[in-house]
Amino acid sequence: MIVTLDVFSGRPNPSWTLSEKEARQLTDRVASRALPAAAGVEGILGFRGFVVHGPGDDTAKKAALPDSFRVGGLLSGEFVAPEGVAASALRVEEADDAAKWLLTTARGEVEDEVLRYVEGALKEPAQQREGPAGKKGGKGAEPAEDAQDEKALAEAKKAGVVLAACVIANTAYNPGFWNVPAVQPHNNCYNYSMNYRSDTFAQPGRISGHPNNVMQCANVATAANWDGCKALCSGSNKNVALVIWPGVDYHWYRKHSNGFWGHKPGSTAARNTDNSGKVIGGVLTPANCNRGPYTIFCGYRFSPTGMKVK
Amino acid sequence: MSYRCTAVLVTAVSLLDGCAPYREVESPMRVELDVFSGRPNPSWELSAEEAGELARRLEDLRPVDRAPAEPGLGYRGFVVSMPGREIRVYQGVLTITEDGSTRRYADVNRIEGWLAGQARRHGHGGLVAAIAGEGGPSG
Repeated sequence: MIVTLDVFSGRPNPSWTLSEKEARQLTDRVASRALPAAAGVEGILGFRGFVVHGPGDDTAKKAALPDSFRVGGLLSGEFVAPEGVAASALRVEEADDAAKWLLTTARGEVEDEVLRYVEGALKEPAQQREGPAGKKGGKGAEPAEDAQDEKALAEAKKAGVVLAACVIANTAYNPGFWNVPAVQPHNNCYNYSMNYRSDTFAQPGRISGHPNNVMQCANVATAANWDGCKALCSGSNKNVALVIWPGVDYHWYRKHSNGFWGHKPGSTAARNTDNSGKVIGGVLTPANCNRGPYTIFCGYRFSPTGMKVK
Repeated sequence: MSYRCTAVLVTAVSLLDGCAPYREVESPMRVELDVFSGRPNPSWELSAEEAGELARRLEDLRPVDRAPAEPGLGYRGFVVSMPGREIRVYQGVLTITEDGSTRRYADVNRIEGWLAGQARRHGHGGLVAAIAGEGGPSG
């Protein structure tokens, strides 16, 4: 069986052949089940799943599998099953497990940097995932997305800190995940920006045991750092931005793979517009959009993929 | 057409038949100053006397068609919550949500300013002063 990691936009996707043992292991996981069709969802940058093909047109049928199918990533909604089999669909958790296992078969076949990125994308829990991993960084990243804070970078170098490659994995804008009665009132800007539904109106530093009550840039940023947020990009991250209403409150924004920024003011609806109703994209950024009383722009930061808040 | 307080506060305030002020409160009404994004909003409970005053101010309201501007960061109004109902007061408009339906009335009895005064008394004077500069009521 041939596996293709569907991840690149410009370059051809990497493919490799499973050994007989690996093919049996995959078959054990997914045989006789309805599986997502190999045709992916268009218009998504970044990790889109693994596509599995039989090497010949009879191989898959022998194994009670469709001729081709997709594992992990964003699903098109179309499922396929082997002929003559009344199949139940693979659950999200099962698909995630199969995708993680398929990633182990990619070692030596796919560049380490890409493996780390996909590993990060797959770490995001399915129940908290609001959309597909969207933007592949590295050499192809937009300069603004993986731009590092030069001062922090210099300090890290001085301290001898070795940073892993920066991979930007912003997700697609998906307000429908947040703007429902069971979610919206219980999650704030920090939940939204870190992309983690805790239903606790999360506070920087709370999950790590370092709560903060001082509403100044350095204090809020440090509390968020304890939770995993950081000034320097290392590994798989999403872009976030912190602003302050001096001495009163804080607010966070998150960049989406669509190219604009989203945010969620308190218990109100998630949105991608500023206080003037303009989409925060293009020349409009968290630094220069209408933020009402949140007059201090603290800066851009990085939130690791899979970061949790409480 | 007028809006009677009995329809608004029937489960929250007892002895509502006359809509007279200073009634007994059966279940607490909570007021939230909706203003923060990250921190939890400041909130407080209305005393029985305050609930009665609110009931009086909810008499004879005039329906309006206009919705207030979509609030964003900063002041977004006061929200009075009671079982089954929510009243948001923002930019001179009361938005009453009950059983999934929404009605709007003009704040002819200056409830928004009255609630701002309450916020001051509950120790949020600095915040009220700040939102006054952002288009909120000064109390």
